[in-house]
Amino acid sequence: MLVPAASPTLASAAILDRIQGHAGTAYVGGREDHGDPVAEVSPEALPNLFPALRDDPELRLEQLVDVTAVHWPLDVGREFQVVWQFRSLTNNLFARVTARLADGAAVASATGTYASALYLEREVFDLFGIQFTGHPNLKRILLPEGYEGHPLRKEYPVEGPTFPEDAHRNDLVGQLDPDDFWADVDKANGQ
Amino acid sequence: MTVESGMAGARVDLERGSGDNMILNMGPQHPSTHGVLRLVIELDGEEVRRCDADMGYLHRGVEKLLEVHDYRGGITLTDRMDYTSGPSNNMGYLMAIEKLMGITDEIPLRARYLRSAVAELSRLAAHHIWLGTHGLDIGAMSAFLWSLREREKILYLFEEACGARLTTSFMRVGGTGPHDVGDQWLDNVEAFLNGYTLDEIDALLTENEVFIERTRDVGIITQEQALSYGLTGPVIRGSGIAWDLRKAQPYAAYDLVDFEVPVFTEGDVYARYLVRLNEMYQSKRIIGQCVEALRDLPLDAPSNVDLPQVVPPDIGRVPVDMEAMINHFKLVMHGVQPPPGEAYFGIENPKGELGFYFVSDGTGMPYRCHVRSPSFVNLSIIEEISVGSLIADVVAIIGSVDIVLGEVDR
Repeated sequence: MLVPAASPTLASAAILDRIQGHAGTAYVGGREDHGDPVAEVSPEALPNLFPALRDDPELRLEQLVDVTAVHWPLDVGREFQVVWQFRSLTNNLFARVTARLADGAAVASATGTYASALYLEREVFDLFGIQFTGHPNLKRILLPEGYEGHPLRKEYPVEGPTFPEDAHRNDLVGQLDPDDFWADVDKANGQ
Repeated sequence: MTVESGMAGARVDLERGSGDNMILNMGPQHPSTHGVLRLVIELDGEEVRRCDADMGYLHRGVEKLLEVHDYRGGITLTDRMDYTSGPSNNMGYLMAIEKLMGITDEIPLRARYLRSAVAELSRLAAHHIWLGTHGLDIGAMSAFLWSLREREKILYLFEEACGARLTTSFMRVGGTGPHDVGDQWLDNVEAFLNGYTLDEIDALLTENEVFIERTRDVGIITQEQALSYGLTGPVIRGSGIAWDLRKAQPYAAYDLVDFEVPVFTEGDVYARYLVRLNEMYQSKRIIGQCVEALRDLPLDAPSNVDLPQVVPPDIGRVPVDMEAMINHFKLVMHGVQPPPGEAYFGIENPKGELGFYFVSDGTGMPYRCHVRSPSFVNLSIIEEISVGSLIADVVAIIGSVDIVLGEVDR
């Protein structure tokens, strides 16, 4: 049975130090934000960083709690901020790792280390269009296949256009003769 | 071959299926998928060879909608995600905003106790739905009826406190908002607790040979799988990991009350059943302590933080006091405005860790709000553990993971 530590075993500064040690020169910066350690790394560090964070005996970030992204369209060249939230249950720790990407760039998948990334990365791909290299099954998850666009990008409108076929139907509602309507239904059912 | 669904136009590629195997399409309209989950299952006889979950039938774009609502307006969207435990979702959303604003430590004791009490009541309500439908899936009809009877009493308590049964929009940023409760409500909660018993359902299922036969050694999740798949909540506690955010990183009033975290090590459907059942007894304990603590607080104890930029003034002062009117106007027009920054906060919801990740640009609407939904993450294990089990066991496994599709699809 795994019994977690009653309180965090490392302070935020120590967690950031260890992440910096694993990321090496790819470490961009770190800060404590609202009590949580946040490390920014450049994307090329990620393939080695994921297993290192999980296997480091002092950190043991065994769970990838969440993967998401933020779109900053005005920040040209680094439009996307991908965010990974980690948790260590053994050591009762929390850490956030972020990386900035250009629009259209791919980022390494965490699926080799954390199975929770299987769904979470598909969600980010679906809603932002970010490619994760190494994901075994990267396809849309919430939206139907064949859907156009990625809704959580800032340029995507909140209100969509009215479908032309629906507009046509709305026009007809006022002048619809019930007998004709049911005759159409019967015809459609082959009677 | 490919299976095509007409409704969502989703296509599930099953090229890997061998010629003799049968492809079974389960859902999205299927009673045991607890909503509109669709499973495409490749069967060899009765044994599952592959299982693909197809979701999104309830996708409403909640995260996009949260970006165009002010922080107060977003509350109404949160209880429509996990609609079995609306108040608990509201708490998670509010506490994440409070963390973003840095006022977590200033929340008055009265609001903290009430939040814990209401969150535990909604845990009971959610677990009663799970208990009933899980029994129903496996063929125990009576548990369902008794279970929903108890849940109905909890919904009456919600209605009394905030006016709604399911879409509660309970409380506001900075405290209880307009939803403070009086002694009458506390009396009613106490009366409910005194009459509340799980013993009949317990007696009906826990020792039931048919139930045990269907659930023991079925759908085993190992400790390694539970960690790797990011599982949380009762599912991980059924696999021998004593992780509970209420204990590990206490919020609201959980550091002020006594309770235990039930843990079972077997990792099967039966272990997850026992975890949830024992959790319900603990919830009852917590609610009792919170009610007692609320009674002991002085009558004039504040229930909201004393910050005019967060909490609107007493409405009686608005027509007669210029300052109060300006304050009221500012809050109605612009809402609360957290400073620029980002924050993640997770609470222990009935299904697992419900997390909200906010990015604020200093305006009255979040720049980005991501919902880490426990059902969505917990669902991913189904594709792995159902392989090799019988088709009838898939139903038991879905029930034991306890997903709600409103939250999976958001």
